[in-house]
Amino acid sequence: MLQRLAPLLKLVAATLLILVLIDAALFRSGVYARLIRPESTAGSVVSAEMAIRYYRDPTRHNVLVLGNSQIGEGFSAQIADAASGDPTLHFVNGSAPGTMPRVWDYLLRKVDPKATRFRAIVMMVNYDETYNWNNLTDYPLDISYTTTLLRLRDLDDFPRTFAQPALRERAARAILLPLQALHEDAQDLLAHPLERFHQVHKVRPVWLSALGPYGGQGGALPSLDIDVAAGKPKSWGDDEGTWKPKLEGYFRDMRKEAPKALQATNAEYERYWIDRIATRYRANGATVVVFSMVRGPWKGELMPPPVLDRTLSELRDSGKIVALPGDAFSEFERPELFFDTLHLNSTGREKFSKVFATKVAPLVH
Amino acid sequence: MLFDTLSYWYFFAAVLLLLAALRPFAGKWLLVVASYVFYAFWDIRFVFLLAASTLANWAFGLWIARSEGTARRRALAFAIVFNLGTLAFFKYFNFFADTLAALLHADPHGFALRIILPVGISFFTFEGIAYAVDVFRRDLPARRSVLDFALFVSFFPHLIAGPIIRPVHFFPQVGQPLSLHDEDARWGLREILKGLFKKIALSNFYAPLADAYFHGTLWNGSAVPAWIGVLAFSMQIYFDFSGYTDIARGCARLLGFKFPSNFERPYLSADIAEFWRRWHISLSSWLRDYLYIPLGGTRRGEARTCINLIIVMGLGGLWHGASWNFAAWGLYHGTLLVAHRYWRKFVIARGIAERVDALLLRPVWVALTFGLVTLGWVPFRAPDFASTWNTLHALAVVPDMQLALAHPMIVAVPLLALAFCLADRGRRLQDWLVERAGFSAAVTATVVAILALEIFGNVDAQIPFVYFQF
Repeated sequence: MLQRLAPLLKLVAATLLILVLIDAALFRSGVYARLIRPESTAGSVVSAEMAIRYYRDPTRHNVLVLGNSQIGEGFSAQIADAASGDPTLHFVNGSAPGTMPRVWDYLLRKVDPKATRFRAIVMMVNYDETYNWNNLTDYPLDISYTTTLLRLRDLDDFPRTFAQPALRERAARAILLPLQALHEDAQDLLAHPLERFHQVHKVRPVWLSALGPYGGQGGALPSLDIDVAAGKPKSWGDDEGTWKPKLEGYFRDMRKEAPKALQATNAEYERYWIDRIATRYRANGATVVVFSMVRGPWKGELMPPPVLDRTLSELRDSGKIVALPGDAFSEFERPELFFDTLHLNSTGREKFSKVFATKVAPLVH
Repeated sequence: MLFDTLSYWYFFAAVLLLLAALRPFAGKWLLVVASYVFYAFWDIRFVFLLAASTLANWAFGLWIARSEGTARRRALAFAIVFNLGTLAFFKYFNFFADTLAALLHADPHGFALRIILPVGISFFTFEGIAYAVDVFRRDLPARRSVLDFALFVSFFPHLIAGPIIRPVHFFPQVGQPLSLHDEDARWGLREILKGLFKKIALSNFYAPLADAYFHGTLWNGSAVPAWIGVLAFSMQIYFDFSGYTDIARGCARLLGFKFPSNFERPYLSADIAEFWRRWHISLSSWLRDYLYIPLGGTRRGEARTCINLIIVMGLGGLWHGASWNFAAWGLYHGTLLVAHRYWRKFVIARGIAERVDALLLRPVWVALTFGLVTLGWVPFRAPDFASTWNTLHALAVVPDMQLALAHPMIVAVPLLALAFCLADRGRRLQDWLVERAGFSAAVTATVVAILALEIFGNVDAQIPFVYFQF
């Protein structure tokens, strides 16, 4: 059989060998990752990876906090360190905007291959999926986020975590052909190489700072008199022109329930990935903590506190994870602590980080 | 299963490896089964249509071969009516129903049926007709083996969007044991990579630009968007269709079959007749051999020749789709061919042919032909006559080049392609790569092509091949 295809196989084998060498030299070695545009999806994960390595303190018990931009803006590891009351504990902010548990699993594998570098992993999760309209299983950006974290051996595992065949195919391509997955970044790099070097040199420290000494954003949302039954403000006050266009949609969609089927698949997604991370870390005695992040301004007033759904409760009851109470941070769901409808401002960041540390520290052994 | 998806290449690799492991007879079975699996990925229901069409055409072939005189002609007529009837029902029923309803001022919904167009039907019905006519003309014997015939019709590289394969070219290649030579491997890989680059990097770059224009409000008749949209579609359709053909030919070659050329750098044609000798060659030669010549070709005087050209091109336009826009596109090309015919007569009569055909003037004629062909794409792509008219009206205004410069790649890609064609005159670079280059040069070229494909390709766009709708 091989004899009949010998010329083709020879050519294909030699080509593949060179491509594998290029792949190893550029991508698997991390050389290209250092040149990725820091503001891009893949670049933000690379920055988070660098920040985790940079801020981890091998002389102390490290507690890695994972989340999306809500953690990036709302949590300060420095404030948490000071507030925990335990000098041996050291919080590390490993958040990356837009990321979710699937990305964190691969990020953790990259920064902590043996699952021994952190005493605790703390993750923001959705306690219930009632109001979540994103399809987490088929979230296409996860492929971009994870491109620099994947290896050839993920070819079987990673694509199967998507439901849609087109996304599975795209995920497989991202592993086999990382240059193709990053083609827009590569085109930009080829077109403006010097600009890119300068940009990386300039922006990377800013990203590191954002997960370190950064103090958070100023500004705050207005106090509004809320009609709880109607789920919206009684009036917009003097600044109606400013706030109504920004907040009207937020109030309108706040209590809009996602379809039941989507809620179920999202709950299963959370269970699968949290279980996967927890299984790895629990095997080494690390604590895995989940919590419901401060949801947004006025939500404490207008919605019941989040309750851990059945799938995550099972994980908690089996001892794999520790779950903070759903209302652990409800007190911060006030407009004066937010600079937009999702992110805490500098005051909120400070208050949240302190309370967060005092609630998490006792759970870390 | 599109040619630009990983799943197709897994499928292709599996078929290739199995084929190499099998004896020729089992190999034919494998290719037929694989082709039906490939077709089933589009819509499993149409597998039965493909099988029925195959069996019917195979039987018609035997009937024609066994018959003589009037009976032979009758058998041929049945074969043609069967194929055209199948095509008419699936592709044109609603079109004619709508037209009839419009003429009668009736509600079109009362006539129309909910018919889904089976992918590739225009191609395999034309191949069925070609087979029946060739057997009738005694250009080839009827195939006794239904397996061979099924392979001819269903062979997956050409099943969905051609090229339209002639039975006289295909059957001599059936049943040969697969044994790839160095040249086959290089040629096949070269065509596949070239085709993928044309599709994924170039066609997928132009497609959103063309769609943005034609799907929108035609930008209120502004000239620059019209020029960009029309030029983008002109580029898209060439790179898309010739890319598809390149991949089909490359795959066929690796499976042990040679397909004829379907595109020969048509946008470098110096006149419209040359364009049709270089664009979708398998269709234009099919129309010539099975429609134009039977209609009388050039044998029945000047007026009849011109009418034949118009008829053939009009029907060729309708072959692309059930819409008067396609007919208009075909008639436009028929008119251009007639005009060109008279122009050549004029040039020869005046004794200025040598000057007109001078090498120095060729760029002018190439530009003119490209411009005329590109104008022809307007009715081809526009959704209706109103949009066609609005676009042509917008094109008549001289555009503000400032905005055109905002999309430099629209101009840069054709210029780079032209530069490549000049450097690769007569395909000398490509032929060198296949026939004379050393192994390391061939590997280097393949690696560079794959890296270029990775960097410049836009696979995630998942834009279907244009000709799949025909």
